Amino acid sequence: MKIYIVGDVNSSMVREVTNLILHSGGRVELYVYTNSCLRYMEVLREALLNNISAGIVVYERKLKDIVADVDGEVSKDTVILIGDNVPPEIAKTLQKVNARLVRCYSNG
Amino acid sequence: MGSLEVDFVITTDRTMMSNHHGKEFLGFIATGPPIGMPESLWLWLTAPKVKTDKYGRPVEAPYGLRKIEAALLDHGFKAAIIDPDYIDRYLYRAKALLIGHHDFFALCPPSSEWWFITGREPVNARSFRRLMEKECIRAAKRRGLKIIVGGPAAWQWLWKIDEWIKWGVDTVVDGEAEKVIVDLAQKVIDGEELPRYIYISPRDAPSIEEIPVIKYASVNGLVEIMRGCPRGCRFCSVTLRPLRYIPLDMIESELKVNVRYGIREGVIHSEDVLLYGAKGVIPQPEPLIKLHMLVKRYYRVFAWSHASLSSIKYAQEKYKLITKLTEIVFDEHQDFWGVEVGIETGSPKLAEKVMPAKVAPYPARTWPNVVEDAFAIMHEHRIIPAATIILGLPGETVDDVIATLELLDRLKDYRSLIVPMFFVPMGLFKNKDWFKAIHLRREHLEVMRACLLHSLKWAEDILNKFYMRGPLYLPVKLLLKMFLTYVRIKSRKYITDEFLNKFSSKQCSNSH
Repeated sequence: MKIYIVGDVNSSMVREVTNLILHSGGRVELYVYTNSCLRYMEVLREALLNNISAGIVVYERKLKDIVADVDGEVSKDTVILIGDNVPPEIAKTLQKVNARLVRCYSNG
Repeated sequence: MGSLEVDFVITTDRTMMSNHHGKEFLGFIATGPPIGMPESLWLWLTAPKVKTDKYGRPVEAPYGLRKIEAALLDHGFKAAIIDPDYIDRYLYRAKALLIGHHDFFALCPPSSEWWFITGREPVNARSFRRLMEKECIRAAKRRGLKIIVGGPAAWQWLWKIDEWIKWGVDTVVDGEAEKVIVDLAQKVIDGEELPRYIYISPRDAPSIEEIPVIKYASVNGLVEIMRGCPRGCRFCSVTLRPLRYIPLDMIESELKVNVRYGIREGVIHSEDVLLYGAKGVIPQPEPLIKLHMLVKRYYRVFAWSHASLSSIKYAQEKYKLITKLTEIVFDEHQDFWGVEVGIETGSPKLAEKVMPAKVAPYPARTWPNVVEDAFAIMHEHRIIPAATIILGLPGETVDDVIATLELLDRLKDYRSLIVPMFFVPMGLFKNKDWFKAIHLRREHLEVMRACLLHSLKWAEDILNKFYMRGPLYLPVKLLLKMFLTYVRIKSRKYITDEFLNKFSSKQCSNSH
């Protein structure tokens, strides 16, 4: 399963990630699109440490690259989670490009 | 002195890259802060520099690093374990630095106990920090060196984001890494994106065929005989891993490697040595006898890393197996061996809740008897246990702690060291001064005092009659005796009834 995390991770998003990992069927690739290097781990570790059975790989990418990366992504095993502090134009474009996969967890 | 062409430099800090004077147990003292002596002397006592060849490759290196080195060499990568004092020769051109550790930040037991008791950061964390801040690593990092860290303490990086960023660690690998490291190395060579974090699930753990044979000697001849554990204790992560028995021919290959490099004393490693070739949790004589005969063909002296007390009792009472194994092992070179065992609690109620299978095949309610019987068997057979007790397990009550105290009293005549450990909820690590937030009861302090007095009494006996014989060990032995005397004097002064009475309220917090 592929989980694209866009922007800052918040607690409701962590709950969703934990849930997705639990039901992933064994392997999860997490792509975190952020401008704050590694800080997402302070929140995300809850989801990572709660897991024991699924293999997890976390990639960190620049926020600006998200649209290009998910354009054309159609897999049923993919979700795009939008967190906090995502520029509205990116959020809108994601909805446009791939609305079916997008779930919004922004507090803003 | 030359250097080799190495793309992947594998290393760790001095507290890990040492043979601890050939005595594995001394390595545990490196998990404390220097007590009663300067740090340099403490390091010499617990983690002296290891012999290296002219390229700075240690003659003995930690077993886990040897496995990573072997995996990379088997796949054609230019990799080598390099002593931390020699990495500057290689980092100016290396592509990646791979670092493994048992306890990067001193958050695991027993480091966390030392930290709690003394209020001072243990030497292993200080030593690791010095390694990471070496100018040669900083310079290589600026040039584009990739840094990959892993080992049993990989989870600690999730609580140390500042250090993760500051030291420029690219990837943290948590889990059995022999397969994954090959993919990562290829990504480094190809200049591909590296993941920030990898958790290797039990189902992705390497099979026996995928576990490589070490190419060079391991610290104190340690050789793995199995991975995983079937007991399923709730506080232990090893139990999550699939159970794999390493075949005798593979064990023999690694024994031969160690002997080739002059290592004739060793440790056989398993979470429960007596479960090698077992049927579930029932020890089987044949594989164990074969294993001990094999190891004794190569090593003059060897010890067990860990064994469970229920296995010891069962093996002896059912098959007289402990007697048979000592008959194989004991000769003119060896008349005792050491092993780590877990008591964890003296409370049958708590044992039933958190570790029922640790007591199996006996009922959990009989745990204190199982412990005492196993201690008696070991005492009689000159097997010296270093035992752990866990304080503050979830669901623990005052009655449970009192039951532990009562069990300690029953164990006082059995030769052993007993070390209390704290169950530290991970959430506490968010706080820099996490150790101040551990809450102890007066009864916990009573247990700690009982363990200290027990261990001081028997440490002297073990040091005088068993450990470190021969003139070569005289300086280390003298220093250890001075250390024991220092601890005894301090404990008399501080750990008095008056001191404990201060904690007569239900709970107390650390008051450093």
